[in-house]
Amino acid sequence: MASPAERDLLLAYLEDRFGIDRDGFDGFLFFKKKKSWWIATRTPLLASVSRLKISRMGMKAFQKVGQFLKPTTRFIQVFGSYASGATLVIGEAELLALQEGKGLSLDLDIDQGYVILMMDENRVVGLGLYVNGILRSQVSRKALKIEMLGGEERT
Amino acid sequence: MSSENRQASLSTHESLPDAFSLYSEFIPDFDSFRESILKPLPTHIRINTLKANPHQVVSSLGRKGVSLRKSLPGNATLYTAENLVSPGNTLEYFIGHIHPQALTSCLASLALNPEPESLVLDLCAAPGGKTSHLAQLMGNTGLIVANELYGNRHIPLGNTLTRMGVLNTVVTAYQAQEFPLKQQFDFILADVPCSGEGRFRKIRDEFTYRETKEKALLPALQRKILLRAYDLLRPGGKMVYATCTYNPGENEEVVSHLLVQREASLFPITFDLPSEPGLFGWRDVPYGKQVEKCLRFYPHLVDSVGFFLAGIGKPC
Repeated sequence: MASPAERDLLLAYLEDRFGIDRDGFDGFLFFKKKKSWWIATRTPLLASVSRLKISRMGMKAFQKVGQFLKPTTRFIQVFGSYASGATLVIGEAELLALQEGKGLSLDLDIDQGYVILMMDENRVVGLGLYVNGILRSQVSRKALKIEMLGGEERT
Repeated sequence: MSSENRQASLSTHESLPDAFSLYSEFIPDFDSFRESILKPLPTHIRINTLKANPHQVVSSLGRKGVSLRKSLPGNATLYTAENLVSPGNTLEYFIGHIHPQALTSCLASLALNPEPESLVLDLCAAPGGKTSHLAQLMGNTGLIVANELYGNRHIPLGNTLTRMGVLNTVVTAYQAQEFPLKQQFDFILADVPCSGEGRFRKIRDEFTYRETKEKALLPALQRKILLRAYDLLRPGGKMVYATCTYNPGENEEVVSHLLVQREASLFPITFDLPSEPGLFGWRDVPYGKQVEKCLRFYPHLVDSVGFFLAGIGKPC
């Protein structure tokens, strides 16, 4: 399990960067696994399965990249809708360009760093990285393929 | 062989797998059944309420020209999407708002209906569709132990759970029939390995169904798994035994064996869908009257995968 200091580090990051209220994580626990932190539902039932050999628990939430914390796409898809800052609503054409590997030149009132990309308030796609006025996708191109975007290919 | 030629080769009664012809003794309107398994399976999706509001997903897919039709009366999360050829190739799939899952497959988790904050065991969990459905029904509360013996299946299992935003699950890798008796569970899903006959039309483009020695060994394995599942259930707990096969030897006979070996009882399962009750017996093997509470789903009646469900309770 993450120490209180580690938990505070993770929640402070989410609060400072994205304005996600730390109280929203009271029902979850974080635990460290090598260079990543995972999140799972906090429940007393975990004690009752402690004698089982567990190979995986919950979801990877953060990865340490150099000195920085990087939330995972799947974690942001779950909790990104609670963000009040560093979010950007984009259209399908912009998402397509990002997933093609293009950088979008944007003048955003957001500090450099990770940005939550959303199609609308209900559809959180993942993270972008905003540096020097250029936004680039952090969403795996293998996971979010070009053919998933656009209208013709689906039906 | 082209898909058209393959369909032609299967379009006579004689070319159906022998086992299916035997089932004409109990499958109602066998001619319609035979026709149904030669038709393509309609795309069916489950909307994931852990990450999405069903109304909004229906709207967003509708804007893309996807036509959705509710598949289970009174349920806002299950839809047939006949003009959606590849649901896995959509943004909604990537963001975990939908999961392609056959209607009858969804019924297993609905029949178990685990309570929030409960302790649940999914004994044969990969690839994770039913596990994530259980998590959805529990609102990501409580704890699910998702067991899957084979390590290579842990990858798709993990991918499904992560994509669907499941946070209340731990994964183990025990043989289901030897799952440690260290803890009793409130709810157990035993969606056991089976001959998969019910999926026949779904997979017919990939390979031709044939009997194998391995399939003959399945009933013995299924009996062991079901007995172990029952022993892992707490008094007053509920479990569901599920297969996607028509074979009574893998269905009622396995349930009947449990009823003889343990003081288990069957509880009725009700869905507003056409189904048939369990068979009292077949080919001179009696299964007992209680198995009438089991449900059989046939593709010509529900336009989905053939499926079998038994709801099993343990007395307090």
